[in-house]
Amino acid sequence: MIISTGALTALVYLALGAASLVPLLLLTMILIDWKRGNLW
Amino acid sequence: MSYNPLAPDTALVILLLFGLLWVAFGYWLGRKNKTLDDYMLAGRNVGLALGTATAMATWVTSNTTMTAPQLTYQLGVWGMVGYSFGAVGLLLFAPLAGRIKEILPHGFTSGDFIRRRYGLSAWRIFLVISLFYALGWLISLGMAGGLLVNALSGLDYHLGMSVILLVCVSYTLLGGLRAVIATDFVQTIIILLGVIWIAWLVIDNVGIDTMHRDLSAGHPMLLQLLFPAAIMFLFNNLLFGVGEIFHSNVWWSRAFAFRKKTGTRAYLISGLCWLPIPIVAGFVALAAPSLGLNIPSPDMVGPMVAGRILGTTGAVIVFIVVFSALASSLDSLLAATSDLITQDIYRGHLKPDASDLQCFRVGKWVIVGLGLFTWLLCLPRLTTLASLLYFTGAFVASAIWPIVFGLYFRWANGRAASLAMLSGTGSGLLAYFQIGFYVAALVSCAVSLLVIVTSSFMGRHGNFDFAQLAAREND
Repeated sequence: MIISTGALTALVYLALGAASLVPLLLLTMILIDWKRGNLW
Repeated sequence: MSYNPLAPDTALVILLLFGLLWVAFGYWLGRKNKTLDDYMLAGRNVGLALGTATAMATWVTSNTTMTAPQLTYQLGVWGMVGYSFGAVGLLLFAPLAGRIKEILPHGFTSGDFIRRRYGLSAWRIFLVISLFYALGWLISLGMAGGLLVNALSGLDYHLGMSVILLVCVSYTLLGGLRAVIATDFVQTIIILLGVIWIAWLVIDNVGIDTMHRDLSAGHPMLLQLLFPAAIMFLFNNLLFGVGEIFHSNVWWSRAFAFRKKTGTRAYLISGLCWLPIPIVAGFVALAAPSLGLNIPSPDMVGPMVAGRILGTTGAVIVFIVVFSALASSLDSLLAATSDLITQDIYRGHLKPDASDLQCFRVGKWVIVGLGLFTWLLCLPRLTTLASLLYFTGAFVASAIWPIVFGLYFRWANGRAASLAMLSGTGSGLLAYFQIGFYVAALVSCAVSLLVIVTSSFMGRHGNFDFAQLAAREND
């Protein structure tokens, strides 16, 4: 059973979309922690 | 392996520039370290952002960035999906991290917990398992550093390995866990931006439809969903990952270092954020046939695809990503292993009345010693030493149940935990040599579970009082 083009596209775009949000998430989190004095 | 897309001089300049940056950063952060808690555990008050990033960065090793494409090239779609299941270890450790901080608020190492929960025998067995694994990982990372730098740029193995070790030892020594965590944050962002950029460019230049068409014609196995070896790999990788994270002081020291009620959330978010990374880093390998690349060795498929699409820029990005991934794991391992040796061997066995200040000083020497030890063992370039890590699966998986039951249930006792770790490791090694690497962790974990449950209930039933773990020692 071979994965279809559609399923492969969905898998890759889902992973890439999620991974692309991670740097934004981390930078937002550190900004919030820094503003609240919660870094360390 | 003669594919060197980067000039050795350029590689050395990148190593030195980034190295200087990390060391200066480590020195700047280390100025705030006044106590043992500051140095070993970053003041025990690390927030959610830094906590999440450090857990993620440590789990993104050079394996994730280099082996994910290699496994995709060898095992197809299941290779990258199976690798991403390594995130389960982080997700499952999330509740444990909260529990660890709650019941052992003044603890330093995973060994502290085993000693106070199970007694001396179990502690010593656990230390052997833990140190064997940590040293195996250190050597394999040190060697991977030299080999990868050599493969990507042709820079001499010894020079590359020595510079990477020197940089990591220096900033860990100067800044302690605070430097490790802060550099991890920056390294995570670098790694993510690098792999995401390359992945988008591969889609833009090749396209998933073209990749699928060319693979269907020439390499249909890579698109196959019923690939037994790949499915086996998925389960073994999952259990190995859980065993690694549950027992290793790398992850326990972070649980102690995070602010109260932060550990669970930090590990949960880091697991979810880590999940897509092996797929993003790995799927680029599927573009190799469409690009007409002749891959001399599967472990070079990632850099070769990036190099073909981006030229020298791609090679530079891959080099920086790999260096960041190596550093983010090496520094964590140096710090956590030094904590284990200082707290459990020096204070635990050699000098029980050592003060925090003495341990603070000894900890620094231990980091230097570990760096030297790793460097010496990496010098002969015996790749068989790096393969040590493969059979540590049998060791680490045997510690999963003693830790889980020890954290949550009163009935688990020291004798049962010792027997479980010994029999799990023994049977796992037997399975490794008689059957294959893919069953070692599975057998070890199953036997350890059976032994700890039967031994605890058949023998003298334990009735442990968790409140006694909360008291501070060495006061």
